Amino acid sequence: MELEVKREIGTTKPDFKANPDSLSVLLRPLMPEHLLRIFKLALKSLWMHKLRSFLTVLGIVFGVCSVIAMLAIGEGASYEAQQQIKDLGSQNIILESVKPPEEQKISGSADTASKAAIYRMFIPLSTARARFGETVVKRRTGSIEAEKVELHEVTVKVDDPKRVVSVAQAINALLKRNHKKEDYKIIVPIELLRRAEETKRIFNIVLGSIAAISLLVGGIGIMNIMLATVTERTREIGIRRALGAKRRDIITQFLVESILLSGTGGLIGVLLGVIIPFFVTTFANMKTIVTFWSPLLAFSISAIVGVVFGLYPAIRAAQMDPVEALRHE
Amino acid sequence: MAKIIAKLENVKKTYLMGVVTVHALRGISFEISEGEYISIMGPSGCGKSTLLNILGCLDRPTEGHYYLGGVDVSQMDDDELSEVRGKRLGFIFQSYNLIQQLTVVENIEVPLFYQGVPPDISRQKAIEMAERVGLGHRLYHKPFELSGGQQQRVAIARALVNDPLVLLADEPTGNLDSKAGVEILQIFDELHKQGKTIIMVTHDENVARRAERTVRLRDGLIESDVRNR
Repeated sequence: MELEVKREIGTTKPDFKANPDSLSVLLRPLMPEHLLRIFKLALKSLWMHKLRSFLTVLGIVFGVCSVIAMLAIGEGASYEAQQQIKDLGSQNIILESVKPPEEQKISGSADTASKAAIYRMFIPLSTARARFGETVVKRRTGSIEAEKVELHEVTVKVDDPKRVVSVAQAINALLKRNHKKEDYKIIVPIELLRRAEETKRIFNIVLGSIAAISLLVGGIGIMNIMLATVTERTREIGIRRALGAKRRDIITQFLVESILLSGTGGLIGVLLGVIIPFFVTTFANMKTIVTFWSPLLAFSISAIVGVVFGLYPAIRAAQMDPVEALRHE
Repeated sequence: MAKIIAKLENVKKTYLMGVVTVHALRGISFEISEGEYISIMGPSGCGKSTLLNILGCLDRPTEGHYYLGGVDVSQMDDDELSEVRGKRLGFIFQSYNLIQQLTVVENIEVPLFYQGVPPDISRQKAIEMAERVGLGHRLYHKPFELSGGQQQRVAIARALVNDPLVLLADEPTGNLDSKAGVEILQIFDELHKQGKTIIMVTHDENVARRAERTVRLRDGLIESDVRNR
């Protein structure tokens, strides 16, 4: 008995010359119109479990928005600190006098006329000048504050910012030799700046870790939900496979769903992450800076989370035996 | 003599269940001509489902060959089998197996979707099919809004939309009341008249008798292969 071949069965190895459509068939999953349909399908499936999808999205929203908001607050705080330091001048070395406690012996006449005699002593102006220098005296009821006006602060400006630190060390050595007591303080703004930058770096690492962890948690949420979805929709997978879906079609379908979850979460998270620092500035009076790259970074990480954590459930869906899947209740 | 559309050559299927080897099919050979209406019968555990899975390219035989439309599909890989299912086969299941989140038209469109048919063409074809099975007024309903008979008609439309070589039906009336069942069988008769090749698995004698040929299985072998008319 001869088998008559009437119609040829399509093979997976398309002949481009014979069939001009095969190239388009091969590229089909990449066609925008096909992708649009897959997106619509994913939306429909996610819409079936609104609460579940919403909660999963929420996990990513919190992750993304906390990353952006925390980075904005951190950036703002470190900007302010740096600004304060920069106001001191990066080329400057500031020498401040620190008054050591000191005892003074003076002679003069006491005021016997008033009750407050014990608190008042009259000394000649020349004596006072010699002893205390110019003094700013503040009188208040019951107390007198007197501050000696003397050399209070010297600002040294160094031409070359690179040599600021070495000059500061030289000054320190010089002062140490000439002052018996340490009644001075050297402030080097550039060094403070460097320290502030170091602090900022550590701060960023800590924030980054928190961000990574919160997105990881969100990602685990996505994986959890997608695994449940795949199990729940085993039968649908079987039906689709029976109707001609290839493994990669199934992978695409579930991957698009998880990317949609994480992408939506990322988008809402970016929005909230930009809005929250604004409120922090308004109500808590803290400076915040949303850098251009932080929403971008947070969003792309959330998208990657969708792919990474969606891949395993999608592969699991695609690996199912169609016969078994169709039998699934 | 009509063209041979499907041919099984000494098809065997064994499963390994733990340490026990189960011989589901022990060597099945038969031919199906174009336009034939065949029913497959047999007690449960006789290998009906296994045979249908192999005929439907959902499973591969352990041994032997299965030619569909002249091509040996018994050793094809997963992607190729998917392609064959999508292009050459139409499935009708006992429990309809419609996708719940999709409307009637969208369900009918599924096989075309995986063949990359453009949306406007596939929509048009799906509507045409829905009208053919008498569901032109239910196009945008979801499966749960339809009766069992209507759902099965959607499934038939879906099975026909890619103009398959063979229509495979697994207990198509099993979940339906007798009235709806008769309606479905009438559609099958109609399709048969139009020249469609239909393979139907059933355990109902009355249903099986409507087919022009009945193949009976027992213990993984063909017990009888008779023409009803």
